[in-house]
Amino acid sequence: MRGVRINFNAGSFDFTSPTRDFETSVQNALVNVSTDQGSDPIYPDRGTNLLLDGVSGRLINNTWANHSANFAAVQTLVFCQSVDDPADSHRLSNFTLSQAQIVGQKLTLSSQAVAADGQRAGIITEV
Amino acid sequence: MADKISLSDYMPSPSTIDTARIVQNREVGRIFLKSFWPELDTRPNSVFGDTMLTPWATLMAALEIAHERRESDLNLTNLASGIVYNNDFALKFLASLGATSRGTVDTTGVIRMMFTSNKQYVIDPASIITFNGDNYSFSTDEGDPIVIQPVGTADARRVLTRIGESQYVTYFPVSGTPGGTVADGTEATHNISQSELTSVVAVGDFDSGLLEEDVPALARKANQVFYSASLTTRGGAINFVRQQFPAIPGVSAVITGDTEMLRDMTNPMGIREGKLDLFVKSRTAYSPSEQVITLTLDTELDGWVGKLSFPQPPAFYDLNLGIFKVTNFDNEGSVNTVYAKSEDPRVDNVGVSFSNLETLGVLVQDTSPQNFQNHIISSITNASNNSASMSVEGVYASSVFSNVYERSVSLTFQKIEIVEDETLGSVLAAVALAVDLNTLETTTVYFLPDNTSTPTIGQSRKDFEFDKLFRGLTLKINSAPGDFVAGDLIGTKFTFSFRGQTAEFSVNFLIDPVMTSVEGKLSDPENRPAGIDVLTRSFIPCYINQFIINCRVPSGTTLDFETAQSDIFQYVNGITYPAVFEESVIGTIMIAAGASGITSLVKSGTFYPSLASVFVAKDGTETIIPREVSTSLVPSVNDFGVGAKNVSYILDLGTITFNATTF
Repeated sequence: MRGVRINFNAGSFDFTSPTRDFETSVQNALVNVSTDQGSDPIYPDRGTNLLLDGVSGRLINNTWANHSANFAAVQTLVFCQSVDDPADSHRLSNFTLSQAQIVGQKLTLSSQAVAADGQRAGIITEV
Repeated sequence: MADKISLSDYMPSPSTIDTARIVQNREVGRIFLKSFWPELDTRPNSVFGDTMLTPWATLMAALEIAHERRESDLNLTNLASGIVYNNDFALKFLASLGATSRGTVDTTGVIRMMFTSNKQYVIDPASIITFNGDNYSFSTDEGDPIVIQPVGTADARRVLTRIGESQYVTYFPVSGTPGGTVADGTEATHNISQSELTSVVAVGDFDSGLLEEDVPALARKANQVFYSASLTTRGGAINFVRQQFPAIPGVSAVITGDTEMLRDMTNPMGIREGKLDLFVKSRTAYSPSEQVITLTLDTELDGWVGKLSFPQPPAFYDLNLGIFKVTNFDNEGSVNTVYAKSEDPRVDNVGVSFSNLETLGVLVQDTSPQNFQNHIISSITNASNNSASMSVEGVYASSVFSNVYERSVSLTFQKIEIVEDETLGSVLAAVALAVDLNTLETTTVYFLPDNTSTPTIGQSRKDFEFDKLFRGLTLKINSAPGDFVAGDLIGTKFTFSFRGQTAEFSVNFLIDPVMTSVEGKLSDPENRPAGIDVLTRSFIPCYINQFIINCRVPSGTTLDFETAQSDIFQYVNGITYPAVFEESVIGTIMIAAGASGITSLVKSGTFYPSLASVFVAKDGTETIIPREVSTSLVPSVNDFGVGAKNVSYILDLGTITFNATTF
């Protein structure tokens, strides 16, 4: 599996270094986390409410942030599994978001994805 | 058709595209791409999936819908039901099928013009008749100028009919602006400068025509094969009439080979010729009409006889006044016999009934006639320079098929001929040509000697030909005083005049006003097909004289008799082929009116193959025309051309009766 790499920090595409195999699944999961649910008319279940919760002031403390992140992880896992090829060994089998921390105007959290073949990937990012 | 296809004209609004369809297309695209680039990540949330495949799937769905819409615009059924996506394209497509908009269909109707004098009138064809502010004009087929001839004129397009003292009428089809509404009996204003013209009145409700045809209307026309609207086929003929008269409720075509067709005789080569009888019915109730006729006393038949000269074929009798009520003005006790004959030179049967090719004559028995005038025989003039003389005896009796009650004739002896006589055997007869100087009718008269040894006088032989002009009379001739030499009479010419005993009667009948319009349209040379003989007729009537509905009504329910009666009236009087009488419809109407259902329907009707009861063949042979009484209201197999394709029903409101049982 190959895809175009997204440079999340710069908000751009990196066409020089494509994502491969499990990376593509992880990147897709992260895109899903940061996509507003309902914004895609073709796939109403796509996306999460995490970003909306953030900008609407629902993340009043770290506990609430973790609570929202957990929901976002579950929503992402369910959606990704619904569109992944069941025969693909690099498909997402587990996805978690944890250690949510509100730092000023930012939310930091840890993400861990597990592929069907057991491969793991952990990335910390800001949204 | 357009040279370039622009699917963009058919693209849907994005919000109206079904997402399931996009997802399906996306999956098709995914599988398609996978066959070329199996590693490419096209899932939702992937860069390629979200920026390329999903938009492509959306566009693909839009294009599919555009294509479907274009296909729909090629589907006549969809267009006819009003589903039109591209009006311009649909119009071009329909035009390619021959269904072009004719712009509009004019309002059409029939007017009755009443004059005070019986004479010839010449009318400007550009005259304007105005109803309710809308202008109507005469058809160009009426000629330029339009000429209306006096009562009794033969072979004229428009002839006056006397309907009363100083009342002479004629009928004209007129047309005007589409969408016009003119009710039966409406009086018009006009710019016709004839001082004797006292009124112009609408006969029957006008047909409003059609406004500019839209795509659905054109598609319906195309769907009904309107592009073959010609008079050469059954369907084409029906479509032709419906195209010209959109509001006409009943039209049926009977063609060569149908059991209802009696005109399709074979020609000398044994080939059946193309005949098409077009039956039309313009409304559920016919219009009453009447006229005054002068009948001549025929002492042999012991009654008053004469031709019924109608402005257009009567659709039925006025039953409110009795069976074909011909009366003098006070006495309704007349007993009538109606005779029919065919004016089609090649058809000698009742197959021309209810058309202009059927002539009706009547025998009325009446002992107290009105406006009686005695018979007259004028002096006889010998226009030749010889001593021949002639006498006329008897009382002229005209005939049932003639409304000529007085004649001025010339009689010219042309030749001699040996003829066989039952009493005298072979004798030499003087043969004369008789000409009515007014009507130009002719016949041949044979004068036979009174004896073979020393003939003293020649006497007219009474036969079918003689009766054409001289029925009731006897002509006697001398070539010289007290002598009859047939050969001496050649070149001798007499002129004289005579009239029979006459009285006036009124005739009440029903007409279908649209017959005049349809016939006018069919007589247009542009519409007349080559090789097909088209005859316009009114439907053959079945008069229903019993219609009793036995029904059950739940307790507490009120049966709406008035609505039921009106609906049944409309239904039964509107039945024409391909519709047939169905009792279930009566049941449905009764249930809608509050009944739980009908337990039985007692009905009886009579089919009239012709308004006449006797058909007179060209050789004088008389045939009884049977009237079939039916309790099923379905005509049985018969030899008189009555069948499902050409019958309609006449049911008076008052005949519909109800027997309701409450439970």
